[in-house]
Amino acid sequence: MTPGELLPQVYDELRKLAAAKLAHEKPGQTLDATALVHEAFLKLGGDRSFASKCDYLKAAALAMRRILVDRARARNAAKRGGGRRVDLESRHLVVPPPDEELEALDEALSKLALEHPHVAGLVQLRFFGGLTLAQSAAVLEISERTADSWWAYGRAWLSVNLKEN
Amino acid sequence: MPARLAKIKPMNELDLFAAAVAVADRDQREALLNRECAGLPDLRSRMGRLLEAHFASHPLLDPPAADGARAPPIDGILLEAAGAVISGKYKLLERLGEGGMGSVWMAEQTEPIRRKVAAKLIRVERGQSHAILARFDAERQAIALMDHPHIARLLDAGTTETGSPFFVMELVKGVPLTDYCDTHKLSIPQRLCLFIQICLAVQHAHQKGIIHRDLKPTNILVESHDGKPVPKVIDFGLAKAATGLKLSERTLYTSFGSVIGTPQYMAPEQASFNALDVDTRADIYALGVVLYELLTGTTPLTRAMIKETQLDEMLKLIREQEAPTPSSRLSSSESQPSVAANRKMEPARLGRLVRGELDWIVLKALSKERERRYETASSFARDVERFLNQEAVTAGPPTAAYRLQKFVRRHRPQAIAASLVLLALLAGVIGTTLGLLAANRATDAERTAKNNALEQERLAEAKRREAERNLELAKKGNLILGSVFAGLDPKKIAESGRPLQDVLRQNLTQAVRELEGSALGDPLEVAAMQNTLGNSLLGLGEAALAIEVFERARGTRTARLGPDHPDTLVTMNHLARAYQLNGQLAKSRPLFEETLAKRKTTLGPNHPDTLESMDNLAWALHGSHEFAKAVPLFEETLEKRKATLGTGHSDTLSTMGHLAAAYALNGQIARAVPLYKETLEKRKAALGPDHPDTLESMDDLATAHMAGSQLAMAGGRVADANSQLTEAARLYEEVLQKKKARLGPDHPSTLGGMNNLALAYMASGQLAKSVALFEEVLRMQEAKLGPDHPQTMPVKENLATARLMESKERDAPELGTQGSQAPATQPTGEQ
Repeated sequence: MTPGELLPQVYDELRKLAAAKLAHEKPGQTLDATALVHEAFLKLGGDRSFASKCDYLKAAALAMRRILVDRARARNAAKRGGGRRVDLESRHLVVPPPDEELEALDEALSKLALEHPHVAGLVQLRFFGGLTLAQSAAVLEISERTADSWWAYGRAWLSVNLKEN
Repeated sequence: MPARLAKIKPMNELDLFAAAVAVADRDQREALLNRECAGLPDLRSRMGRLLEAHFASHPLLDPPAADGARAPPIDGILLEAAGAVISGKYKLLERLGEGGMGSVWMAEQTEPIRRKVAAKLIRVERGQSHAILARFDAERQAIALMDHPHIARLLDAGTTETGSPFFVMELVKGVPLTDYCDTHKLSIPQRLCLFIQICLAVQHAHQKGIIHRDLKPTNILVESHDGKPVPKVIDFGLAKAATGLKLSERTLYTSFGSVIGTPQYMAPEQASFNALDVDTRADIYALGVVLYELLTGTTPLTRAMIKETQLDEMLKLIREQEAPTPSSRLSSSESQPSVAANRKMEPARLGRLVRGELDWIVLKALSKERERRYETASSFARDVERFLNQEAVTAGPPTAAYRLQKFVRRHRPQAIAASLVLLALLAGVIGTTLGLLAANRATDAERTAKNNALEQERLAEAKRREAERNLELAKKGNLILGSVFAGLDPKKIAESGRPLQDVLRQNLTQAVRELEGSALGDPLEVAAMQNTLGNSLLGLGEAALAIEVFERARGTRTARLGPDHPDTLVTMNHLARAYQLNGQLAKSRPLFEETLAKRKTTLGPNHPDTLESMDNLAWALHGSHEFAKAVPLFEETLEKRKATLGTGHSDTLSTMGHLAAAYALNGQIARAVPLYKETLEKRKAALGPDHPDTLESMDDLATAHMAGSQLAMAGGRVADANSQLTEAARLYEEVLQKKKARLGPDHPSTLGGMNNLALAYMASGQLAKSVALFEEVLRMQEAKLGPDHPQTMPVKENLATARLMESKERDAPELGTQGSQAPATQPTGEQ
């Protein structure tokens, strides 16, 4: 199966897992992408070949990106009603984290993918798939040195893009 | 790709970037860029921006948990799955377990013989398999020599196709030692027999020169053979293979337990980053912990204690924390009935059985100095056997001199002076204990030796009288001690520098241990002292320790006075407060409710203690945001306190402040502000401007102003919003200055004040100040409370928000200038 064909299945599993995790966590909790991806893999039966595992990880990173960004969008929409709210507590005041940033990153990453699809793929694996640089390199079948310079470039590119838009 | 740099012109952006980043020297880098971008001003300026971004941190792209610091490594899933074949002959069948070091599988060996084995797959960073196997090879010969029915055999070792090391062992179909004992409800003698077998297995390995280094119940599996328990020690030699591994920091942190030992079972000499000098006596220590757990159901350092500490603190605990005797752990354990039931015994009988010789045996094995432990596993086993045969054991109670020596050693020199008073008192207390012990022993002697009965009786009587006199002294000593500690409450010390507080904290912690360790005098006196100690600890912000102490006092008072006695209720109330201050709301709330209900029936609805409980419960409700319930309860309490204590009484004022807070959180700011102001004025008058309660009122008033400014802003009243913000920041600053001076820089209350001030800065647009202050709070809070404490998360979130706001602020002017230069990259608008 190609990553594209794998995606619906992976997305579905990850979304279920994420929802279950969030139901037991405090509001404002961030999802641990690596743990989710790992768990979903085991749930999906654990394919054997190295190639199919790489496909799985690519699909999982994209699925996690969709889940996280959808979640940020939903929360943003909910927040827009009353503007930015500061919760008042007598001992500790809490300001909700900004989900707009995640949405902006998602957009920027899509733009990066138009110019440098491989670099964007690597960023997606690391940022949303929770993989280390070495793991991402293995999945993309590139050397760690290449992965290192792609990541540095992608990071700088996104940083500049986020700033300038 | 980046290899072909200078040859292709023009270079594409990615290659040029990679080339530039690879040049460490700034000037050389600039020169390279100028050369490569000659005639391409757009590319040159874009490279400038990219490189600037490269060298700057980015709050979103560099999250604190970059690379999933806490997540399990993914490498494993690329290789491990049922059906995979390792080294051409071990087919993985079923995952048996998952640890920090790797996973354990049931596997089928296909050649030379077909059998089921256990395969342990180790996860390491690339290129480290060799180090593991080299270290392991050194021990391999010796391990192969081990042949013992209670040690699982090691069959093979090597590397997998992807380069990870693996070990193949005899498959043991057993369950962990403690699980087996509890599910089969083995009695204490049965457990001891099993333990002796384990000691002898360890002895066998030690004779072959193998140290286990990670003995613990999960490494001691028990199988049933014809209904008889057969223990098997697994993983001999593996810990050695894994020590000293050049693991990434992440691995060291997450799989700490399996890399250099398991904290609860680790000997003090193992508890450092370069624990090279480890010998067989580390295994003796671990066996001591295992025995402790077999007797009491808990380890000396409990999982909860370990979980709450940072790595270096944890190592310090292992090195310095003296284990309470198993019998005292049993008497303080909440789960004692079930612990006793699992050992087929009444709780009281279990305590009596363990007290004395078994206490001594366990503590000997757990000596911090290894020369005081049993020399060999077999001598340990023999002493346990002596106990079973009702012979005299070689282990004895610690002597007074030894205790004092230990006490002094544990204190840093500068603390010793401050400890002298305490020391003298404890010496008296210990003397009394020994006197009582001697008297009891004399009595036994009298019973058995009847030929000179009269003589013995007179002697015993004299000793008993002396002991009783000493007990009176001890009671007095307790009172003095108690008053010394009561004086330590920072609320009652006018001027106290930070270092003194440290000493006090240490002394208190010490006193708690000593109090528990020596079974002195009347348990109720001990409970009374524990109450005082606990309150002092709470005053110093040591809620977790206070909980331990209050739990013990509560246990004693419930057992001796009954669950409804006013003294028992006092302790319950303290305990509930301690839980609340420690962030364990689910535990504090029901305890407050229970105390209130009992006080209402035993003391009456208007008794000051009952009103205290009402106030506390309302505060707990408030803490869990149930304002609709909290407000009326506070209102009722306030009315009753005004009527019974007067308007100016400190308790009345405290309820007034609480009610104001509940109003504020319930959105009734207009009611909250005047009530806060009233509380503040009355406290200033009654207690002075620097009193902690006055400061609390000031803090609360500031917070109310913060909320007020939000409301004003939402209503479009900008001037009002700004003046309220200014007032809030002014008040917070004043409070913080005073808290720092009074409570020390890392007291939870000081940290809370800093957080609030930082928020006020943020709200009023002073972002740099805000970020710096949040960073300081977070650093101190993580050091003090640990990264998982409920108070730490909000601060992290606040810091992230402040950083983002700051970076946006910084970038805003640039946006304007670039917008005019580069209209091509204009966003297309909202979709």
